[in-house]
Amino acid sequence: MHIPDGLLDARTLAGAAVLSAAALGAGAASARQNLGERRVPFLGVLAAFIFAAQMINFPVAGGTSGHFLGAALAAFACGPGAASVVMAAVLVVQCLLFADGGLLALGANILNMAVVAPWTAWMLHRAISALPVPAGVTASRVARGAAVFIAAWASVVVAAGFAAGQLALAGAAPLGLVMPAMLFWHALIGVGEGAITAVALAYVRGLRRPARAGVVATREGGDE
Amino acid sequence: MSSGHGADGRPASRGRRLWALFVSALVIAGCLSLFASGLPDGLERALADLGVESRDAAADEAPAASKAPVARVTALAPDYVWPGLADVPAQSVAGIAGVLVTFGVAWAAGRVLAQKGAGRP
Repeated sequence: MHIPDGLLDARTLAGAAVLSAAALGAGAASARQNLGERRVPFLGVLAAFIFAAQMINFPVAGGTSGHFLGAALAAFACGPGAASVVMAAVLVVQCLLFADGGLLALGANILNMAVVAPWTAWMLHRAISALPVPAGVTASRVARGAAVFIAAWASVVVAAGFAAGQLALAGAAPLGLVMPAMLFWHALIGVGEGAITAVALAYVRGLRRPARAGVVATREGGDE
Repeated sequence: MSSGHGADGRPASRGRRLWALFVSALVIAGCLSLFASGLPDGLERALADLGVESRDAAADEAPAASKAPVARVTALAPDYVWPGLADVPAQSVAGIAGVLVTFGVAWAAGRVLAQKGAGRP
């Protein structure tokens, strides 16, 4: 859902740029509270992996494709603040080196994919986790995978909704048309997002989570 | 995966797994990306259905030289095609370069954040 240049007007571009800069700054500030040196290589590899995975467009339906976004994966792997930094790194490289996403629209794309998407996934996952369900259900692998799937799916759909809102705000397309169109296609693409996030997170958590044994956990505690 | 959880927790093992993730990123960007779908993505499709065409989309059809001056300067490999190479290597090289640069940017950003974090109680 990278917005190219030439669609948004100056007001929308400027507004999105200011909002994304503020949110990115807040995310970075929250990330540095709990980011240890030992986590730095992980952030780099996570960003590199998300960049690579975003290259793989998969067909969804009716001659349309989508690709993994990775914002939910990043949010679950390192928290929403650091996820914003990781996603922004991916978007900046895509924009500057590969002209994927407009240069002027970078603020809007960061807002949608590096701020809205990870926070949506994070907050929805927290809300789901807080649901009053029996302990046996929350402990089950399937239930935890479903929560991740739903949160990741929603991260793509909500981010697409924001993109649609920006396009409408800029007068590029009427809200009543662009919003349902964006939500429809990204509801389909989000299924891929949910599935890939659930699988990738299982692997990434093996990196993040030390054994539950006390010694390792304590030593890692400062990094989290 | 849970069966090896204790072993996975050891720093050495996690280092190997981190390397494996990095190598998989290189393989995905360098090889699997060649099989990516070229169909329009969700945004492109939604806009096409609405009859909206961005100036950028129009420029995609035109030679790279006609693109915005800024993009011409910074975009080393527009649309993930490394210039001066044949189709397949051009895309592989662009993907691998992207993985390396993205790693570097995120690593540098994390490094700055971690250093500032170290100064705090």
